[in-house]
Amino acid sequence: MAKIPFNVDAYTAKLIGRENVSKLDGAILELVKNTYDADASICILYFEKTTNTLYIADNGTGMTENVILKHWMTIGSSSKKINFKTQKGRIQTGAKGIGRFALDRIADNCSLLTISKEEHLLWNVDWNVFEFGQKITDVTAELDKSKLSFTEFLEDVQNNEVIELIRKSFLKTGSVFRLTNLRDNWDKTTIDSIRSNLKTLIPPEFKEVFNIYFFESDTSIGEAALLQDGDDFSYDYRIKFSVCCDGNVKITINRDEFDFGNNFDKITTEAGFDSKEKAYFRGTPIVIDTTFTDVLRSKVPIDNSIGDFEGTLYYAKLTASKVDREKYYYKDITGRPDIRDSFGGIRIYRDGFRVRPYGDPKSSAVDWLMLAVRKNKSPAAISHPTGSWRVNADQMHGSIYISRTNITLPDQANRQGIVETEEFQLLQDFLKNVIRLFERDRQFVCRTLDAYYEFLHPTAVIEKELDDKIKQEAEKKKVAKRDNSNYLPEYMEVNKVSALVEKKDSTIKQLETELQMLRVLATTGIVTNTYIHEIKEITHKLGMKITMAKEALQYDKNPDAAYEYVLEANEIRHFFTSWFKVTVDSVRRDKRTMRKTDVGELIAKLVSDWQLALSPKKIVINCEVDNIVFKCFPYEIESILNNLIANSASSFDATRVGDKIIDVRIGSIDDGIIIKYSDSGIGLTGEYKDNPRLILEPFESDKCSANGEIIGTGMGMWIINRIVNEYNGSIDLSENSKNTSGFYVTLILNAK
Amino acid sequence: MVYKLGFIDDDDSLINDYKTRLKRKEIELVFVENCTTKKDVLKWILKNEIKCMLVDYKLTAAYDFNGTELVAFLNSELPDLPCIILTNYCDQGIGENLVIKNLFIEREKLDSDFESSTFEELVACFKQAVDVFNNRLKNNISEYEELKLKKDNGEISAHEEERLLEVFRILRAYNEVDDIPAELLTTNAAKKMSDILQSLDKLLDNTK
Repeated sequence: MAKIPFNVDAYTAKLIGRENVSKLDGAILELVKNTYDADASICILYFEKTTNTLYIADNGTGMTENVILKHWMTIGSSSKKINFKTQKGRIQTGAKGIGRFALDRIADNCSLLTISKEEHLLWNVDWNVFEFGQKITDVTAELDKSKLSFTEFLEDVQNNEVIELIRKSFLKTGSVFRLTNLRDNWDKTTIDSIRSNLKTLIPPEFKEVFNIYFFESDTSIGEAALLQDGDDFSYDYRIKFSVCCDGNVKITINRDEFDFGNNFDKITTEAGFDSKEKAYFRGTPIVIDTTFTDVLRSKVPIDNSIGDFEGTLYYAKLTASKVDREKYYYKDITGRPDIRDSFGGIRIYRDGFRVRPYGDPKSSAVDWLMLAVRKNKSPAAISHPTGSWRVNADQMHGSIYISRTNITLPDQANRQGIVETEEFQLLQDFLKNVIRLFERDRQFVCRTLDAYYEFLHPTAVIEKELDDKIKQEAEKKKVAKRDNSNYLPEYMEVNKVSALVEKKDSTIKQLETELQMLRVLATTGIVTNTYIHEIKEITHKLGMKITMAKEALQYDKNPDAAYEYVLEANEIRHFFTSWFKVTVDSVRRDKRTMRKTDVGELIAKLVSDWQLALSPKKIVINCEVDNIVFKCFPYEIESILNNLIANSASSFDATRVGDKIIDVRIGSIDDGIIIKYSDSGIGLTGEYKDNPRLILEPFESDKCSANGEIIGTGMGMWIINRIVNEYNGSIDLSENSKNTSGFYVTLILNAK
Repeated sequence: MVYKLGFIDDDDSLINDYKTRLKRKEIELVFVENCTTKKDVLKWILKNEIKCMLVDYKLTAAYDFNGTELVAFLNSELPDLPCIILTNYCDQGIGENLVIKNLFIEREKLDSDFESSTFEELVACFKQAVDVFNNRLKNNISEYEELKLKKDNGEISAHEEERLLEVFRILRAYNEVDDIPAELLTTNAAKKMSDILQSLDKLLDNTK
């Protein structure tokens, strides 16, 4: 029987290539990576507008005829799969054997001059010949021996600076592609985008071993180098770390934020820094030799299943107020470039090449460590005496270096990042904890300097002076009026008053931050306090059943009865869990994050928990919620309902009522949601009946004991009112005045 | 000796467990049923010869009053009957100032270990309350006998007669005296009785 080989349609082969390299940016990056894999020390891209030609050149090892035939021209074959280390020891970045289709993505025609130790070769291909109906084996490219040098191949190049750099850097070997009939319109936006991507393709620290140049017709060598000395970031803090696979970790933190000028000794001594701290200010790095487990603050040992990795993180603020500059002795950051758009956040490099999209400024993964969320949860100012300062997401950038040897951090198949393995989570946790070490150091320094500033600027004296002056002025005014004489106001120096105002502003800001945190904690307190008796009751019931089971075995020798008690205990456990869900669960951290929330799902779950918790009291909750997605803090919506349901449950407790029914209806309106709530309890009492809105004031409560003593916190309805106000909403309590019993409220929350 | 205690709660889910546990310590717990008013509860107590009453604070799921109100009522009607508030809401109940603080007991003590000092103390407290009531009952018997003698000798004052009736009703409820109508102890009733007896004597003399 004849054996017939399979073949591939040439056009299909091209399509497969295009699937893998669909964007121009991606195609360029793929080719630049290839130049790195060829052990080049520079890669040149030159776009010539007048001829619409792109040159890509590298001074790497070049290709031999054998490499071109066996690897370059065999689709899907890559020499990098097995031998992934180059002669220079670089770990190669590509391995799929499809990089050459990047050429097709960029242009119709391609000429390559490649000079290896062995030979000079000229390779030409017209991608248009990869047409439908043609077998791949029928498509040919031209490969000829050549005697051309690089400069001869580039004789049409108009920018002499390119030739100059080639002459200087391309001493023996290398490859130059000339791509014509470009497929894209290389306008300014496209060029800027490519330049920006290339700038972050490799970490700045690598520029000594590999640099990229991007030329246009009038670009000089100096301008073309994408990684320049100036890119040694001006930073405030640098945190370097290296992690060994055996779990040993070395972290060095460099403080470069403070400048005490000529008064270094005076200031640092008076502020109370010891000699070790002074050395840190002078450039000695803070060295922390620790372990993977300790950095992760775990009580049980954690194996470093990630393997060796390292990184450098930078903290660089872009602005500082005058007061802060003076208070914290910040070094001058005037003219510090805003590199956020080009460098983004914390990037990951695998074997020296960027793993996208981490830290990409145009991607949602710019803050892949969720530093902004962390900051929101702990918004304390740097000088806050007790709160933990957290860095802003846009103030951190840096590079994390991993390798293809980190097999637990595999690339996603679509090259859009790393598979989110457990180790990836571990990496994120590790980095956040490294950042925490820097935050702790910076906060220590700033707190100390803040105290020193207070010592130097005793605003208390100015405050007293101002107070005295105000009193004296009032007296003078009174005397002038009495004596019918002229009143001449007295003035105070602006700098004195402004120091005081700044101090007051800072105090107010600190208090506001504290208030924000306390509100969150208050909700936990109110909710728990409201239900403490119910929780005690359930705990007692649970305890009784367990005790009964134990005694049935111990005294009655009756396992059947014991089993029955255990079943009853298990039933009560569900009530117990439901109480916890409606109390502690409502202030869980993730519910304190503003997000698009499925209100239907949120309320259905909450009501179901409440239903179970209140079932022993024979309270029924009827709930109708439309399918609504609403941007909110979920805990705030829960807080509204928790407070209302708690009030209803108390109302049902206060007196004997027939049917104990709570009605909740939630629907959507133009730009928000409407909550209609009512219960069949006794309703508002006394003055609240005539003026229901009074109940929205803080510390107002109609929850009284038998002898009329107020036992409610008076916070629940106030919290509801506060939340509604934050959503620019409204509260309608008018129905309460119209009905003899029951409680009625309609709430409207508008989108924030 | 079995100690008999009454218990009122609007939730009967644990009553059998309490009964079982306390029975092991020779305490009989009787649960209030079929009562709606405070007077109904009073009648129930007397009918069942309850010697100490355990009262839950929250009763509103089944009654129109709460525990402290009931205890205040029972204290006025049966001053010698020990009443203990057994609740999870001690703080709230104490705040009302209707019942003295010492008479509040946290309900969680009822699920403490059988041989623990907490449970022993609780049981001792209940038993002592019954002992107190029994001793007061004995004192009442002495007082009753003293007043009865005064009455029989025609030396009783109006105030003492009123007290005699009160003590008699309590003792009769707890089967400490013969079950005769209380009215018979009043001076009017005695006079009437004396008149009737005199008439009867005359009638007997005439028939001789």
